[in-house]
Amino acid sequence: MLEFIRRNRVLLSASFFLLCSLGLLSVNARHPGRIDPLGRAFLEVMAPFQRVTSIVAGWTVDVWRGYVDLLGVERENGRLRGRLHELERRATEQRELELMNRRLKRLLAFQRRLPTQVVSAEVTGRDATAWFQSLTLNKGERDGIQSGMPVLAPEGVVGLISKTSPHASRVLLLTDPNSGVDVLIQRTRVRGIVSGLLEKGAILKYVKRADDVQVGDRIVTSGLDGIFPKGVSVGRVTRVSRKDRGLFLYAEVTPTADASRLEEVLVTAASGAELLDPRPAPPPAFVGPPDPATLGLVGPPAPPGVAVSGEQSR
Amino acid sequence: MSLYQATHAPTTPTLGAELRAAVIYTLTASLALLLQTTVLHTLTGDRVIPDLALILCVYLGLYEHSVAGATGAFLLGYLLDSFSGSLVGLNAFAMTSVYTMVYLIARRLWMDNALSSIAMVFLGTLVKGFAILGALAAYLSIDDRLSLAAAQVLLAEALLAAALTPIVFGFIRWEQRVFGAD
Repeated sequence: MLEFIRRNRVLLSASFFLLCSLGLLSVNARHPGRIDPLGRAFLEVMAPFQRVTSIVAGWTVDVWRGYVDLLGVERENGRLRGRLHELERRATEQRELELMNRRLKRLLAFQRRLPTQVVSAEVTGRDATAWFQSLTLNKGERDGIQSGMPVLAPEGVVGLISKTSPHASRVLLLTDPNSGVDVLIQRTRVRGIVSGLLEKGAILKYVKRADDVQVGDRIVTSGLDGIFPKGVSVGRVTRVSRKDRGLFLYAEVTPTADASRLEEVLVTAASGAELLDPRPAPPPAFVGPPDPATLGLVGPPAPPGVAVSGEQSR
Repeated sequence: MSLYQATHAPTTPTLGAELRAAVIYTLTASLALLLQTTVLHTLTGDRVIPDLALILCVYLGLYEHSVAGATGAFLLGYLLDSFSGSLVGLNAFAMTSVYTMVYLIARRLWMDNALSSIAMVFLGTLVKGFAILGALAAYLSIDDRLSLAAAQVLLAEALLAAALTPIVFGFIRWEQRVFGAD
């Protein structure tokens, strides 16, 4: 018997502990938490170690996560930079739309003041050489534009149409040496001709030395050349000289319409003339700034009841 | 002398050796419990907790064929009960069952290699899981069949514990060398 117990002591003890476990289980299943003599002591002894381990583990994990986060931050930084560039691009586009909107509104308001028919056009190119001053427009004969038509901007006179094709036209700017516009000094009503210079800028020609012309005088179109409507701003006198010999004085003029910054212009019929109608029986349409859709951009809102287009109309 | 007697001949360890072994197992159990209740939760995100105490229990079943070994397994389970669940005796029962199963297998098979240790831990985890489910069904009338999710967790625990077996066994042997209990 003793030998049996000795040989099977492990199994017997294991069985004993199994029975103890089952006993504990059955007692605790009926009265949960009542029979746990050592549990409280275990908890008490282990608690401080658990606390310390938790703190150390937490600290380690924090450091590790901080490191991992740092790597993540680098990636996110790159992503956010990309996003920032994208947003900056969009903001620039937005700003461009806003500015275009403003310009087109001014153009529209200006066009409504004009007595003649107008065609709005977009500037698509500049002169190929430095000697002459011209612009290319995106409207041509098919839009009713012809050579000799005046080109205006809300700021004032831009120039004359010098060449046309079915879908484009070229503008000879006021500042080109070949141009000439009949003008008046607004303050004194003195007449003259504004013409361009090779060295850029414009001068007031054919004004007598004795005439009253001062720096700062505003110059407007006289309407006597049969081309430009009367009273459109041309520029301001920036320098007057009477030193040279001759009948006329020398006056430099700064055009009010800065051609280098123009993006949209209005082409009008010459005074007293009508724009040619290249299309049969066009429906009544509103003449306004270039259709933003054709520019691929969003333009100003159309006035109620009228269709905004680049087409001519009465 | 039979092979069993030759390989499992009872030896009478000295009191010092028994004390050293007790210290080693107590330290290991405490460390295992500390890790299981703190660090491993953080590392595994509470999904699967590797049962280090069970690996220790399997070690006892493999190498401590004595009353002290059985007692150790029971106390280990009891210790676990103090830190898990509300039903005292559940883990004690499961751990003692695992110890008994491992002991019975180790009595008949040569288990002194890494692969069989890993297999035993894997098997032990499954036995523990089924023991707990059985006890719950018997005592708390929780008769839920082993759901797929529970089976997956059990399998994952078993695999994780099996994977950690060489580390835990190595650590215990390192302790034994340090304490001179080889």
